[in-house]
Amino acid sequence: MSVIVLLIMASIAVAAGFLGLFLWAVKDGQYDDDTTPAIRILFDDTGGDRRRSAGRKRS
Amino acid sequence: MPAARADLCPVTPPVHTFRPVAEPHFPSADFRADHADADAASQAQGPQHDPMACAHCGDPCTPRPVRRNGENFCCSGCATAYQLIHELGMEDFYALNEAPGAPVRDGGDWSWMDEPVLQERLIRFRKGNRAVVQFRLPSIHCSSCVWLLERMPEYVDGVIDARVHYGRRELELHFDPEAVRLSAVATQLQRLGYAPAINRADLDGESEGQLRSRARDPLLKRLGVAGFCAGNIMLLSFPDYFHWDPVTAGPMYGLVNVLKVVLALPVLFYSGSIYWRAAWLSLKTRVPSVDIPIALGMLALAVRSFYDIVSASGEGYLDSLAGLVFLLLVGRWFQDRVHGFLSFRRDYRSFFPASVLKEEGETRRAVLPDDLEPGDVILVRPGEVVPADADLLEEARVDYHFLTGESEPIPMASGERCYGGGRILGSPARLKVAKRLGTSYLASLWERDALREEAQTGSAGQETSGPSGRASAQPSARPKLRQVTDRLSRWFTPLVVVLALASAALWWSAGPAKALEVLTAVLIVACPCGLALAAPFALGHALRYFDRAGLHLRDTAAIERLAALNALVFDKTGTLTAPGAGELRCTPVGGELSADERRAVAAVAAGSAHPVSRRLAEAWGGDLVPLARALRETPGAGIEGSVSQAEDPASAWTVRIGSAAYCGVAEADTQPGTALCINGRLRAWVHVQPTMRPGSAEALQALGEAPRAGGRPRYRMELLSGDQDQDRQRLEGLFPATAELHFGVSPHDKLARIEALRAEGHTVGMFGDGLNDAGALAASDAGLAVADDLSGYFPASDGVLEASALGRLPQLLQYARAMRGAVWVAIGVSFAYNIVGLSFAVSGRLTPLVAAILMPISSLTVAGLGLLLAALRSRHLHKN
Repeated sequence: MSVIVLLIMASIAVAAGFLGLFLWAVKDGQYDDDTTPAIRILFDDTGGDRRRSAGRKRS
Repeated sequence: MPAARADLCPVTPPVHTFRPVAEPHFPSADFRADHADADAASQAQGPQHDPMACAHCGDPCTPRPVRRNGENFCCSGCATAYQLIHELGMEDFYALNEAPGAPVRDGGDWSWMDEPVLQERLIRFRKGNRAVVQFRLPSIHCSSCVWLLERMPEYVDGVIDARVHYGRRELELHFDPEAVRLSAVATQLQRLGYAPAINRADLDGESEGQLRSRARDPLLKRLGVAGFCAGNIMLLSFPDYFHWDPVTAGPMYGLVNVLKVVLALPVLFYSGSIYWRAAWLSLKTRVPSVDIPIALGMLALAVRSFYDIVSASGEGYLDSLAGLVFLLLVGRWFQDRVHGFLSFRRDYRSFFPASVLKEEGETRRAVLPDDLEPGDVILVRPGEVVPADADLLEEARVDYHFLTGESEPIPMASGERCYGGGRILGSPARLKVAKRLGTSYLASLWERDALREEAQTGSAGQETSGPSGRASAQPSARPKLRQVTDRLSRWFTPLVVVLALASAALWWSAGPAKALEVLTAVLIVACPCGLALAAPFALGHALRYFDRAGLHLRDTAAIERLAALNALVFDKTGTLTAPGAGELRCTPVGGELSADERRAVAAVAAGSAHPVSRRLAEAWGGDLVPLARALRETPGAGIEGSVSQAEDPASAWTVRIGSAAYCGVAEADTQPGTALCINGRLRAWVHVQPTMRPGSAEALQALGEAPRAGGRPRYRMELLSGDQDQDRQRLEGLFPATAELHFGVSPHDKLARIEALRAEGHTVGMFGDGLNDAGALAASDAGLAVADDLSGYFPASDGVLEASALGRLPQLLQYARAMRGAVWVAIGVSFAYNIVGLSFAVSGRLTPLVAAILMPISSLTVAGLGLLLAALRSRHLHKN
């Protein structure tokens, strides 16, 4: 029976991990724009290191 | 290319036609990427590999192409942009899409951006040598635009990063203020065809789109938490569904229940908190809303479940509670559209420039319009808006169309008072500021509307009698129509409470515990989950169909108000007619005018800035305009000049253009319009007739007809025009005979008229386009702004109707009515489920299992039905 306790705890922990990831993504503004990334992915990125994601702080 | 497309300066007209102004079009600003049909239209406009299509933007090259490097361009701006893009090594731009460029608008002086005070307002964020600005670039329209703009760091030194937000047509620029001037970046953007759109309101913080996105984040988080908790509680409840025996389960039973309680707490206090708050607000303001029965149901579910679990008398309904909150939030999320770059809450600041050039001795300096003091001398360039009431220091032509609804630009003399909000046309003008920004005519109109909105939201249900007088800030005659669901809950909530108490009383004989159980069961099952989901899903989906048809509504409540309209009021200029465009109507007296006569008239007309003269000069001028001599203009009366004839230089014709009195026409012969006299003989009457928007005549006719033969028309129709009534005859033919047409109506009178109609009991829809309609739009039950250019200015409203969709208005209103019916159908279904549930509850058999099955099924059916009906009824939009 105790194995069920373990399983329940593990499953909730995993799910909570995904919830945390989702909340982080919302906070990071990833749901802010749902069109541009779809466009951006179409480009052949010849620029190499051009795409810097740093500094995308929302003031 | 004229200064800006927005002021609709006429392009060179074809010779000898009476249609001097080309139909305005805004190829760059429409929703190309968002709407398949718009896409098709733009492709039809510039077919692939059409040699006469501009190689940069794809617009037709009329009247004659600019040729450079073996390619055709529609204007020299496009040619320069094309060359520039190649010089920058960005030619892949043209490989991604066919003619992806944005037409390059001329001009724009961005040097004000370097003024420290103003730049500080633009910069959103600054850290070290990195500053962040956000520009609205309305001409972003395709993937090539995104590609080119995001590569800015490669071709503009000092730009560190550039990111496009396509939905909001925004560019977030990270740059180094030490390495590059912001004005240089803006100039580069403009030369590439992406002139930033910045108005006074943009300096006051975030755009409406940004705020809406931000407001969405908490909802998403609540939704995520609710989903997580609901899923896990449901998982932990599975043993209960299969009749788990507490005795054999032992300590496991306790553990599972504790976990369920722990998981239910965030649902109750975080995700569901919006319902507690809304219900409390609703109680406090005594405005019935659907949130009260929802909160009641949540409370009953929580109390009953905690009681059951603590007293070990059952397993509780926590799975139903979490599922309920989750589904309600899904409904909210579905209904809550982010409209990207559309803004529905504009005030006068959006119409004002971000900066104005103030003269300081010999130099000019860019300042914030708010900082202008009476006595300051400012310079306003063509196409720009005068920021405050000011006196002209030189002659100018002023376009008041947004401010007063007058279709023709007014020539004004030096010393005349120009109201803030007028747009200077032609040449730059110097003005002396007379009033501060906040006290100008335009701002006063706005202050009043702001007051109104406050009064309305603050005290719903307040009744005042009769139409209010001029310029008095009274609350509206009656509050706007509330949403169906909220109105239903006015009787729904008491009914549920009475039913719950009655069932509890019936069961009292079986003991207080059983009575309490029944009481909570009734409250649980009556919780109007289906009711609360019917409108969000049906109407939220309908919003998307409205968008596609060219009507962009602020929220779902606007659909219900559109459906309830029984009076429609239209503005004329800019709404039913296209602003700036017009046909020259000529009524000859004594035979048609000869080509020589026309040329002579054009030659004299060319000497005047009066709008009719300008049209005459454009329409009849052609390539070879003879020179007019001895030109003498009498302001407010007319112009006179003499034109010598090519074949006989000795003989000259004296041409007079002006009022009947000026030309010496007897009163009995006078006709409306401007008189043309040649050698003292009356030859013709001319007037400029604004062009009706395509489809508007048909739409007016369809709306004025009775739905059934012999029945009463559905709508009372009215016209409120700021213009004088030279157009009355034509409009009388378009409106039904019963319609009232009012001309020369001031903005305040428009508002008063709407209030009067509402006081008579009409539910009024207002259609307008300018600031002069702003008050009327706000006072009406449903105000729709008609706009050519969605990125341009339109006043605050419940929705924006694309001018090209005006002809579809009858179908749009019909769809709104159909959707109101669909909401009722969905509500009916949800009530049917409620009755089934209540029969379980009243008879004391509502087990957690029954609740767990019944509630999601009812919610999902109602939501699905709403989506289905919205899709099925959308065929109304395409009929006829």
